[in-house]
Amino acid sequence: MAKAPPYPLMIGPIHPALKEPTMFKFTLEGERVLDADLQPGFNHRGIEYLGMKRNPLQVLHLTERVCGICSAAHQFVFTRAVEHAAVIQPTERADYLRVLIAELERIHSHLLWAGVAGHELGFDSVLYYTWKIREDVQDILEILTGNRVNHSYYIFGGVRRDVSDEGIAKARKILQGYKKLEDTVLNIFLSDPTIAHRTRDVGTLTYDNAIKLCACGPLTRGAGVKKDVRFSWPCAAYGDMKNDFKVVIPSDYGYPNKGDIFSQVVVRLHETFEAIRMCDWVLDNLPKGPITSEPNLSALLMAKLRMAEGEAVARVEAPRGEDIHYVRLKKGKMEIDSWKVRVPTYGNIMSWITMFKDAQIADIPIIIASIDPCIGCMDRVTVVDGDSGKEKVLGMDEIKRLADRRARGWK
Amino acid sequence: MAKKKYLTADEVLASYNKRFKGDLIEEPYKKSFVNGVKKTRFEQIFVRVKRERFIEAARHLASIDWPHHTVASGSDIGDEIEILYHFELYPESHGHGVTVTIGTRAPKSDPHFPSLSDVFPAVTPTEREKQEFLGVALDGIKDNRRLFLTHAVPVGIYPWRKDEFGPEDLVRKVHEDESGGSDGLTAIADYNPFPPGGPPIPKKKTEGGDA
Repeated sequence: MAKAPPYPLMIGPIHPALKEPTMFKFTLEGERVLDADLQPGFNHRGIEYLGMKRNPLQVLHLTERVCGICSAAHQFVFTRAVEHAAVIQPTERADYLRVLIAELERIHSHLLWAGVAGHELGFDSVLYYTWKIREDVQDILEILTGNRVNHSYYIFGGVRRDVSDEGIAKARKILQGYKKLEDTVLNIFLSDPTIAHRTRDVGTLTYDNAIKLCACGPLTRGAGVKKDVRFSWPCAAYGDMKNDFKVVIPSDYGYPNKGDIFSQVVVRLHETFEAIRMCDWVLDNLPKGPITSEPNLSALLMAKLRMAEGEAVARVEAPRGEDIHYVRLKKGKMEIDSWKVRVPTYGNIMSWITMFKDAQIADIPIIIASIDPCIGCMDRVTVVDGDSGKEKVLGMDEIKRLADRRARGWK
Repeated sequence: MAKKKYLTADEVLASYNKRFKGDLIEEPYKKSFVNGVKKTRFEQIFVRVKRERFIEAARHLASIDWPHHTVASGSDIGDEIEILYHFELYPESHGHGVTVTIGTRAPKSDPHFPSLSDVFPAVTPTEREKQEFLGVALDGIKDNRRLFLTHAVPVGIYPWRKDEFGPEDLVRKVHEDESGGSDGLTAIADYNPFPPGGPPIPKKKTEGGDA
C-alpha cells in the first residue's frame, strides 16, 4: 500500500491555548509532525507605535498592558531603560522592592503555568490545586501594591508605594506557608507517572539548538544552558544577592538536562521555590531610606525626562524569560523617540518551532503550552486532508480522547 | 575546566575601535550603571558601523564569544533608517555579561541592509519584523514573509516610518471606513496567513513633487 502523502494541519488563529491569537501550520505524516511554521500578529496592537506618541510617564502604564501575566516585569524593565537613558539613579530601597515584586510575580506566573500544564495533560486536579495556592501570592501582591494584576508599582527613580511593617509581616507568613508546601508540590509533579509519561522526551530542545537559536528563559535552562539575566547582567538588588543564589538547571536537582518538557517542569517548579527564598532574602536585607529619588512627578517629567538625551537597553528576567526594552530619548521632546519591546516568547519563536519536530498531534497542546504560561485551554483543531481537500474538525473532546489514548500507550 | 577569560566592556570597545577605525558612523561608547547596596556595576556598549562592514562587525562579535542575540530595534532618524542589533556577551557567566548593541544606517533612497542570518540564525523573525515595519530590505534574509502585519496594513505603509510612508492616514481612518481593509473582522475572514513576498522598497518622491 502506498504511503499517504504529508498533509497540513492549521491551529489557530483564534485559539484559547495561546495568550494571543496565533496561527500554527504543521505538516504531518500520519500523527507525526514533520515541520512546523508560525504566523503571529493576529493581536498586534501597535503598542510601540502608541508609545512613540506619548511621554515616558504615560508609556509607563502602557507597558503593563503588554502582558497580563508579567505586567510588573515590563514596567520594571521599562523604568530601567528610561533611567539608563536619562541618567536617573533609583534609591537602594527601591532596588530591593522592585526585585521583591518581580519575584512574587515569578511565583504566581510559574504556579499558573504549572496548573495549565496539568490541564493540558488531562490532569485537572493539579490545575485546581496550583491555582488555589496561587491565590496566596496574589494576596501578597495585593497587600504590597494594592492590585492583583496591573500593580502600577514602578516609577522612574524608585517605586510608588512603600511597604508597611504590617504588610511585610503578612507577606512573611504567607511565604512561610509556601515553604511547607514545597515537598507536596514537587512530589505531585515530579513523581507522578502520568506527568512523566506525557512530558519526558516530548518537545525536546537540544543544548546546541538552545545556544544556536538564542533561546531564553526556563526553556533554555531546561536544556542545561545557564542563561539568566538576573545573574549574568544583574540590575537592581540582583547584584547584591547573586552570590547567595544560583541559576536553576535540572542537573543540580538530580535530573538530566534533556531540554524536554519534563526538564522545564523541573526548572519552573524549583525556580518558584527559589523565588520564595529570594523574597525572604529581600525582606531580610531591605535597606531603609526613601522609595524614590524624585517624588515630584512634574519635575521628573519636565526637568529630567524632557531634557534627557540618550539611549539605553535594559534587560530583566521575566517569568517566561528575558525581557528587553530599548529606549531613546531626545532633548526637548516629550515623546519617546524610539522604543522597542521584546517579550520572551518572541525570542523563543525559532526554538519553539524545532520543538515540534517528530512530535505527535496529541502532544501539540502541551508543547504549545510548555513555553508560554499564559494559556487557557484547547478549543478545536481543523485537520485538512491534503489529498481530498476535505476538512474535519477535531473538537476538544476528540483531542482529549487522543491525549488520553496516548497516555495509555494507544490502547 | 580552565577558567574562561571574560573581556570587559572597555576591551570589547577597544577591539572595535581598533578594527573598524575609519568605518565607524560615530564614536562607540559605553554606559555603565551601579545598582543596589553593594553598587554592582553592569555595562553596555553601543557600536555603529558603516553598512559595508556591518556583517564583519557582527562576525567580530561572534569571534570574541558566541553572544546571545535578543532582538533588533529600528528607527526612522530623518534621512536615514537605523537598525540596531542587541546582544549579550557571556550570557552564561555569573555577573560578567556585557550588553552589546551593534548597529548600522542606510539612506532612505537605498534602504538595503545586510542580513545577519548567516552569522546568527536566530535573527530571522526580528529581521522580518524590521522589513515590514520600516520598509527596508534585509538582503540575504532566510524568510521573506511578513511576520506580524496582516494584509489589513497595505504594502507601502510602514508603521515606524515618520515620513509620508507612515501609518498616520490609516490610523485616522480606522473607525471611519467600516467596509475597508482596516476592519478587523473583514481582515480575519479572508485573511491569507502567509502573504507572499517582503515589502517592496519605497521609491523616494521627487523633490517638490505634488501631493
